[in-house]
Amino acid sequence: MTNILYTRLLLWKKKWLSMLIWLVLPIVGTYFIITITDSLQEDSKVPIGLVIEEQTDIALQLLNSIQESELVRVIKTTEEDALYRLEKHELDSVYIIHEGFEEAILNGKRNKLLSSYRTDLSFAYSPVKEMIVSLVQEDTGRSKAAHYIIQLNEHYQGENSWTWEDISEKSIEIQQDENLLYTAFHYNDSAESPTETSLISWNTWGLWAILSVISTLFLSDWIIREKALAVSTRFSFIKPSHFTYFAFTICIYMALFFLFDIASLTIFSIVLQEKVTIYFLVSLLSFRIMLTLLAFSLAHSFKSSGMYYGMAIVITLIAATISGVVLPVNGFMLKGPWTEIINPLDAFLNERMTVLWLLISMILVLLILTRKERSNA
Amino acid sequence: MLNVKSISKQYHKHAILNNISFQIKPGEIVGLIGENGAGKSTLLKIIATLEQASSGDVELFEQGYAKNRKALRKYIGYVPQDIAIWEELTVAENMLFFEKLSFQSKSSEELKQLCLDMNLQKWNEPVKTLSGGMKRKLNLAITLIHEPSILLLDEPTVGIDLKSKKEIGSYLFKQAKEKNRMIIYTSHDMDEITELCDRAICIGEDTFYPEILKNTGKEIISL
Repeated sequence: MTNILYTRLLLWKKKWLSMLIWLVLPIVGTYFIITITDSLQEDSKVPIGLVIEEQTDIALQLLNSIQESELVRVIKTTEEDALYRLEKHELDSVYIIHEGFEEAILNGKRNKLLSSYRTDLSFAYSPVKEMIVSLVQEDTGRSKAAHYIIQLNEHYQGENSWTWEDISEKSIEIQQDENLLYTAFHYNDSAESPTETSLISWNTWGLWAILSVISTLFLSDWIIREKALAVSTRFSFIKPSHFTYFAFTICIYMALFFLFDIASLTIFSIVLQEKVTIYFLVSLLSFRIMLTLLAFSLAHSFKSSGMYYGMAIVITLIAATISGVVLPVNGFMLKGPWTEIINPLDAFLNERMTVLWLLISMILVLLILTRKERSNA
Repeated sequence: MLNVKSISKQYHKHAILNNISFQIKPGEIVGLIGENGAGKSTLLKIIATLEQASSGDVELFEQGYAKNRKALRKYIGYVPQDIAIWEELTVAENMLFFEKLSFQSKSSEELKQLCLDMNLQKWNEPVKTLSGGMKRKLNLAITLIHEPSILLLDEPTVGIDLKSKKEIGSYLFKQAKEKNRMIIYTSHDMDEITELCDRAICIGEDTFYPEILKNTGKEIISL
């Protein structure tokens, strides 16, 4: 084993840079896609100015609700600064929450709660205004309902001593639980939650898996290159059998890949706050073994590197599409008990251990190596 | 001793070799000659265990290939016509690479000496910067790492300068006579065959090559 490792290291030494690029592609690619998407989403938000003349709970709650919207970027400032920036078109529009806002809400008043400013270039004024109005209406409606419940409680001499805050809080909780209007682009198994604030939310390990597929396939081209070289003749006159030589070489590649998988895991858990569990580690290992073995089986069936690279790209695109990792195809995405049969990535993307395709890949490699050994005998 | 017994080879019903038989004793150098396509390389590959004969068998040290093909490989050294080395590695790395996988372990010094014996001194040079002659020497040196009893060389000096050709020739001569190795050598260079080989085996029906060698005093066997 050490002798085979030594020979492999000699060959790796000569092309370490290209190997390193392919090995870090899944880590770097995933990180950049996620951070660039997040930054683009942030840049595409409409900048609005918000002036709060009172620091009451309801006013701050409204500010919070507006800030949580995926459509706007809120700049909290003074009226003077807001209007100056509006004139310079740094802001699309400005909204002022006046003194007495909370009192008006608590009293169920709906008129003249907010003022707004816009310019001729305020292209998003109407939808933003509608959104803020709807949020205010939500608050006024909630407040009115809370008052009504308190009145009813007092009228019927109920035993519960609910406060306005308790009722409002419960109302918000129910609203979040039964969020009927929440819509976002949904990727397979991306961590969707009611508190999601971005339009596009990537599945980190899904993206990583797709990039790992292309990286593993491209790094497995050694089989084709070494098979085509004149030096391959010499492998009939080596001490280890073909079976041993290739099985060990695959294991060496597997170990190298898994080393970088662990690096991915560490980096993603630190930078992207991905959860790491022992079960996930096992699922990652089963995925890696399966991917390395399948890549070997595929590469072994090709004679030309060019054809193989083309096929590697096609396979990656198909995997990305049917897994729902890259295209937000909620309705089109393949789902069902049979998806694991046609998609080797399915188990890993659903955080399960890869079993079926691991067995298939092992059988394939065993058949190939046994055939190789027999033809060499 | 190598004993080739009634070897025939057919590709898609086309006969390449027909009932070839000969023997080689330790220390003997045999030249394999014949026109292109006569089957010299095929015969060499059969003796090297890389191809199987359609009929007949080969025996090395009285062990038949049919039953002991893999076990006999440690006694065989095959130098293919194409230069079978890693172009991106240095001479040292190439030698170490194949030593690690060889039937026989050798120290770095022994490997270096093997190259020096052939006047291949550029130990740390990348192979891609070497001349054709140097590459041919390395091609041969790698084959000798496991000290094979029989050396099969498929046009080992094709396309190289005369000096390298002579160096390889004299090295092979020493290998046969001093280390008692059997050598089978294919070439189109009749001067080389005349100088180096104890006898020549002519494959094919063409009488051109036997005619050339007729007056050299060498034993010529036409098969």
